[in-house]
Amino acid sequence: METLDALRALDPSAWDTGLSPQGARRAWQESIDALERGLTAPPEVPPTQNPGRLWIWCAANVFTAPLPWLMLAKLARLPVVLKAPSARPDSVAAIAKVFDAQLVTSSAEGLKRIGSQDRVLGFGGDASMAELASSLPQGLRRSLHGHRVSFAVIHQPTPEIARALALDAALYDGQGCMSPAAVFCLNRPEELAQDIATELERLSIEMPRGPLPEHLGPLWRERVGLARILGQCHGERSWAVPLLPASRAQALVLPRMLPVHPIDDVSELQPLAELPLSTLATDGPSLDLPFTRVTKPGAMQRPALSTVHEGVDLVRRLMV
Amino acid sequence: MSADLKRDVLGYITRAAADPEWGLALREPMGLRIHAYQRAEIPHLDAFCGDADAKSLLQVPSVPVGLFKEGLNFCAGPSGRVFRTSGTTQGRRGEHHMPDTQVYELAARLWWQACVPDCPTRVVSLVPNPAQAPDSSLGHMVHDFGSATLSYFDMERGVDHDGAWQALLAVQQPVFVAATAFSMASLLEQGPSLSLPQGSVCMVTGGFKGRKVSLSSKDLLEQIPERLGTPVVEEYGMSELSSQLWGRPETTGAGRFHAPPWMLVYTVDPATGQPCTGTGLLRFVDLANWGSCLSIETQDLGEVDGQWVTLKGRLKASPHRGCSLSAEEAGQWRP
Repeated sequence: METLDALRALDPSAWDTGLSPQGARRAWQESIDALERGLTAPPEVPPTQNPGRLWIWCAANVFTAPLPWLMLAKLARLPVVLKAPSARPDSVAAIAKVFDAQLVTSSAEGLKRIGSQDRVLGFGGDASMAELASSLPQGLRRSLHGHRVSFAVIHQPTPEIARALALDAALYDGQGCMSPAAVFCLNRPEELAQDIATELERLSIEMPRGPLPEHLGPLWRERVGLARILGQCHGERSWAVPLLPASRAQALVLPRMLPVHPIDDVSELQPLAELPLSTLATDGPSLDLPFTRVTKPGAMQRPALSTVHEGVDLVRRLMV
Repeated sequence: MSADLKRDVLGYITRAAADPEWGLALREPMGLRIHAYQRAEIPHLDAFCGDADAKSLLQVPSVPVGLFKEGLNFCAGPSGRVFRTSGTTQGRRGEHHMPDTQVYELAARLWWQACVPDCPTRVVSLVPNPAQAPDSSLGHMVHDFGSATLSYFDMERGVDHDGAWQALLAVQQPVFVAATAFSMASLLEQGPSLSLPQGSVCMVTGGFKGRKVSLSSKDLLEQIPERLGTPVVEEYGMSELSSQLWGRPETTGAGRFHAPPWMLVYTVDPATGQPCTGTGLLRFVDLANWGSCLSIETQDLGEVDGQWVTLKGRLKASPHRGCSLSAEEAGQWRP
């Protein structure tokens, strides 16, 4: 609980997170709340019997991502070294202090200091994970996690579901693999799109979007334009809900844009199997698709404290 | 209405080429007339524009080039011709449908003649041959420039090095050598040095698009005069536009291009799409695109000084978004 208090005392709006100050504070609060809930009945993590440290190679997007793994490592009494992304080191540096973890900001230095008994947990883009994999000593215990993409599938839309999906889209402004790229809707898609739009508009005041990265501007305008031509588009500049045929779905997440695609049957979603899938949010049964996590709408960006990530039990693999 | 507008656009471009000041003065009303026509005749464009009520060319909604890769037909009336992007950087090819090529050809030819005066019309072409690639706007343009065109480019095999060198060694009269940067670099990787007849000109267009060549762009532009004995002019164009911008021999290598008076070029903040000063994303309002999309948003960065544009490279993706799929990767996937 001391750790949680220390985390709560930090102000994430001072860090470069890519989010607005309000967005960073909300993401931080949600993340610590999830840890607190998880610690009321924590997963069984036996103290490690082996020497060595856990290296967490942090990505530059979801700044709260190391928190659950640090908490589990703490339960395992495993020393941690955090490798901060060179582009955005400040959040990782602050988190390292709270957990009494060592901090490294240079990949070269990190690779030099990794010992033969250490283990590596990595998050980032496919290219950087491939590079890390090829640079690590052979035989070193590791779990490296690259690109993934998430979707929602809604059978019976309600205003509550729409509000929950809007929060999924707004938290972290679409950064990270648990952000919904699109919603596929089996019934009343226009109604769902309208309700998501209403909530995204409200959230844009309560928790404004961070600055749009330059290279996403043209893509944003393309998607809005395409929706106007082939469907309908709610919103335009700081948030948007394009309603487009499912044939126009994309695996690209744009910050505060949540496309809705009408479908008649979940069998239409089979092409998603070609993608590296992460989270499915649904109000119905799970799908016969290789999602690694299934949640209710509204919980996509608020994972429970779990030993499993993308189907891998990280405690077993890296912490015992 | 269509025939009247086309006739008037042909007349406007003809006179603007001869009298650029007049062309600039009349650009705004002529452009707004074209915009009104396009909104009335092109349902996709009208839907794209939505509630926008453009009172000036800067307010005409600009179609991002990415939308041309969505298989949409932005053509006023039946599509008489389609030009496609090369598709070397992304899987899907952009499609620019137009009613016919009459205005395209007039605009291209007049501005080429204005920017490269006394350019020979005997052409040695290292760009796609229209007979083989009728959807190549570059091939169409180069072929249209020539009174006699010798083509040494094959869509499957690339540059015919032996044929091109033999032709260049044999020429007795000034020629216009038209090439992409990649095909010219490929040609210069082998073969002799020579001095083409005085009055010859070499045109280079485009970049290397990620393909491996032994020369840098700068080296290539420096080598051409040394190896072929001709001045070099650079051309900037794209399938989505009907007009081209040309460099001048004295500006070669500086990335500076001159736009015709019937084209407004301005920059926007890449993130917001709002007009900006200094370096920004380039938008072209091309009145020669009378039957398709008047205003086009590119993915190229540049600075604009009146009718002169200095290219500053392409808008690059930021690595910040980590484990989300990159735009390039995501763009490849379709359900």
